[in-house]
Amino acid sequence: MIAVLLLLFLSPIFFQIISGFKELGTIYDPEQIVSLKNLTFNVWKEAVRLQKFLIYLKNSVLATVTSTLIVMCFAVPAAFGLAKLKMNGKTRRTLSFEFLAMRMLPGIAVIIPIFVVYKKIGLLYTLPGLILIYIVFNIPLATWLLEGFFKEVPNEISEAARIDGCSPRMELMRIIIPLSAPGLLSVTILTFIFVWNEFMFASVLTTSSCRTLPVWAAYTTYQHFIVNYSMLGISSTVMIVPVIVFAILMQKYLVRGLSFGAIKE
Amino acid sequence: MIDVKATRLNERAAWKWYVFPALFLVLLVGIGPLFYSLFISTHQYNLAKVQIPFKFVGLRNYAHIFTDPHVWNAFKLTVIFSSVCVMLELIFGTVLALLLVDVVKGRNILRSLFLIPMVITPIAVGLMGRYIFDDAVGIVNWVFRELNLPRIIWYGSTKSALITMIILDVWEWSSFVFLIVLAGLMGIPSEYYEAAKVEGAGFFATLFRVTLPTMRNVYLLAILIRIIDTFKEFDKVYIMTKGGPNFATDLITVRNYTIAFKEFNIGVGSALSILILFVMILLGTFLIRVVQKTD
Repeated sequence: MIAVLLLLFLSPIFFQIISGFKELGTIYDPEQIVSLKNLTFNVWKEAVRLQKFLIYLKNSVLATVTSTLIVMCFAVPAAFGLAKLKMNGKTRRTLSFEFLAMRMLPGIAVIIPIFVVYKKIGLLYTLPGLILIYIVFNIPLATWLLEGFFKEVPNEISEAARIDGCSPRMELMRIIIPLSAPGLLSVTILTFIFVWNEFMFASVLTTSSCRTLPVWAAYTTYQHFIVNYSMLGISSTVMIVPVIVFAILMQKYLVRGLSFGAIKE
Repeated sequence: MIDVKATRLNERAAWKWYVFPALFLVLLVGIGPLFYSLFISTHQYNLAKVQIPFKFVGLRNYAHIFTDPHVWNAFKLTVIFSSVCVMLELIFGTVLALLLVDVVKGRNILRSLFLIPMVITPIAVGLMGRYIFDDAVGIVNWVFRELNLPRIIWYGSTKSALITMIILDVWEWSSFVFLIVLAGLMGIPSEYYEAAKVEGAGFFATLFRVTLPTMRNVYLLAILIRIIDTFKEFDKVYIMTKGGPNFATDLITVRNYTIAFKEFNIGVGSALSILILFVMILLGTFLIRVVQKTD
């Protein structure tokens, strides 16, 4: 029963991926809507040859990897400071609150002034400009989640290390990071997914050559006045396959990330 | 090196070296623009029409928003979209969780598979929606045809476009509620159920007297996160209909985007985004209280 339910539930994704292996003639044939005959690699070959989709794939990978790495470089120390170092309890709560609050910011509220400022300083329609926004927008949640993971490292270990003359930096590098490796990995992957999936910022801040995959997918829908569903199938597949692989590998930690750290297991 | 120096100077100030870089960057690029936006929102500013000068207009942009029927329509649609989605997601998520809470074998695989819709790229979900709800070649209408049901023009007609968006969002996010509720259910001590059994409580009595009350915070969390996210919904709707047909799916963020980046009316766009931000701050503060409590 559950298996049937799941199959129904996930079948749209299956048909979406399959549509990339059908030529337009097959897709627009009412008798072949769910048929799995006449599948071909032709559309894929065409896509790789004609559309400059490899460029957009490269942009997406570049934006995602760069911003994820830099986010971690900022968020790990910040989370360590909040979770483990001596500070006023009230300041700690306020700062921690701020980091979570910034996660709720609606993108539309920030994108307009950023657009105007970027236009003035020449960062508009450049990949580094987009990456900067991704970094800033993902630091807060990453910090918040990492703080939770770091807190789970028993304080006794840190204290013992400090008595032995361990500096905060050594504590972070030698104790906290190795002991919360799964947490670090899950936050990295979550950030990766958020950046990879992002559309609104990318659609406003990029143009032709620096578009990312979602923006490209959004702009390649029509061909000769009909919707090119084969192409949509291909662009969707390229976007979702990496994410699905990550989701299956990291499911345990993803739930925690998606629920703002409230669900722990 | 910095660390050593900081430690020597003052151990109590060490945290600043770790927290400030991130904080500084986020405040500068994340929060700073909001103040600039506040400034723009009191000015007449249109990037598309150069003949209109950049000048101070006070609160006229805000007045414009409150008298714009399109904005009211967008606000109304957003409230409908948000409340219907959240309600349906809660129901489906809870039913799924109750069905699957006793499944032990293969639970992890199950959870992974249910996780898929909500982590895949929203744009891909929107594109998928266009395909499966296509009135001529979509899978949904094929099923309807096989069942001898009438053909429906899903997102192409004003009557059913918003419903299509809701179906898609419920498909995408019900499993989020499912996973949160499942985790909550597994956290309820089994003594509670044993006690209920001893008292002779039936299935529904146990559900409404034991299970749901203990899960109050879990539900509050799920509801708030979903309300905030449905309020921010943009990608799927934009990719499927751009707010059409005839404003039938013109959610508040889509409207805001259209004003700012299609009409390039930056002043009015900023004003609307400030108002949206205000609503989000109210919702967000409440949510954070709940999250910190659940902690």
